Amino acid sequence: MDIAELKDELEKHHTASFGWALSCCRRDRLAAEEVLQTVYLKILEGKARFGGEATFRTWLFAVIRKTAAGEHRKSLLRKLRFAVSPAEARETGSAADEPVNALERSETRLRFQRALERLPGRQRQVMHLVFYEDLTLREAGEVMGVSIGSARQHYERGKTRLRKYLGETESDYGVNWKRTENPGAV
Amino acid sequence: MELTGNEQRIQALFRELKLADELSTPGFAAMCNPAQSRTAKRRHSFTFSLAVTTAAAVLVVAIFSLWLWSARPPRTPAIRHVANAPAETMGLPSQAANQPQPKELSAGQQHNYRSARPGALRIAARRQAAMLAGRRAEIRHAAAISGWQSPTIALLRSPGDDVLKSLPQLNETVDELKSFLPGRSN
Repeated sequence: MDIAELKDELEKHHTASFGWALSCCRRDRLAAEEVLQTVYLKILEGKARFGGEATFRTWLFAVIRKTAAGEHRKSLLRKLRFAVSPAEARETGSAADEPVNALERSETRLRFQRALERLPGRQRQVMHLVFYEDLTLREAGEVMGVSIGSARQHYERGKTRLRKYLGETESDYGVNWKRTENPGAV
Repeated sequence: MELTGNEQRIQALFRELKLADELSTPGFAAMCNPAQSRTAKRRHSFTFSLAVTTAAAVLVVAIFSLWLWSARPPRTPAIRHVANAPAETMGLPSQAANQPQPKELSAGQQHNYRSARPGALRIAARRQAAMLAGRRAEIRHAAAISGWQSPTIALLRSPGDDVLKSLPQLNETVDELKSFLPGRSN
């Protein structure tokens, strides 16, 4: 596959790739952009080569997952080496949580995001691949580098936990709402 | 994969998330071009740093070799002149006379001599002085040995020394020669 073909393929999957990078980076936009740039660089420089064993999308997602894991490890090391100053931490947090549009601020979506963040990494990833990217469990397993049985297990557990967390946040929301509206009632 | 009620709900939430992500996804070109320019920049900086390193290495080697060259004992004509001059004055055997006479120093050579490091000159002068002292001692010993006479040499002398030491004259007549023969009275 030459550079032009690679670019075409990457462009075709760009939106899905960004969504997957966001999921791998725990919804941190800046980190996701950095990871995706690194992935494009790897592919265009030929450091990551598509062998044709799987579909291009599955291979691309696997590269993104591995790169995100590597970047996460690096950032952890960086944090260990240099203590982050409170000002820096505030800056990073504000950049990551910056609301982009009205949808971003929607309460349902925020609650869903919070529930997703509480899920263990593997479960969150398999849920994302199945529901967000419409991959089968086999493909999700290929992307994550696990067997289909393991992927199914993560999927089932993730679904149960997500349901539980969503229920919890909904009840929390109800209590909060009652407190705000009618403090005497609680 | 058939989705149950809960799964459909989760999928709807993921769809909403996906929609929001798609709206805020940066363009492919915006992600790909910085990656490529980053590669070019990296390559450029690598070339630049390689050139700087090479230049620095060459400079260091040049300085080191210059230092080595200047630290070597100077074999300048001026030093040779210093070394030869006392040997001639001491009346050394014909070797000294056979050696080519040191030439007068040219302006460039004098400049070299002056610019040679004083420390190196001092070391060279010390070596030459030691060598000359050794030569002087050798000459002194040789002269003493050649002029030596035994203290009992007078006892070895006799009245017939002249006859024993001189050769007979071959041009004399037979009669004269017969006079030397023993047992014949003239």
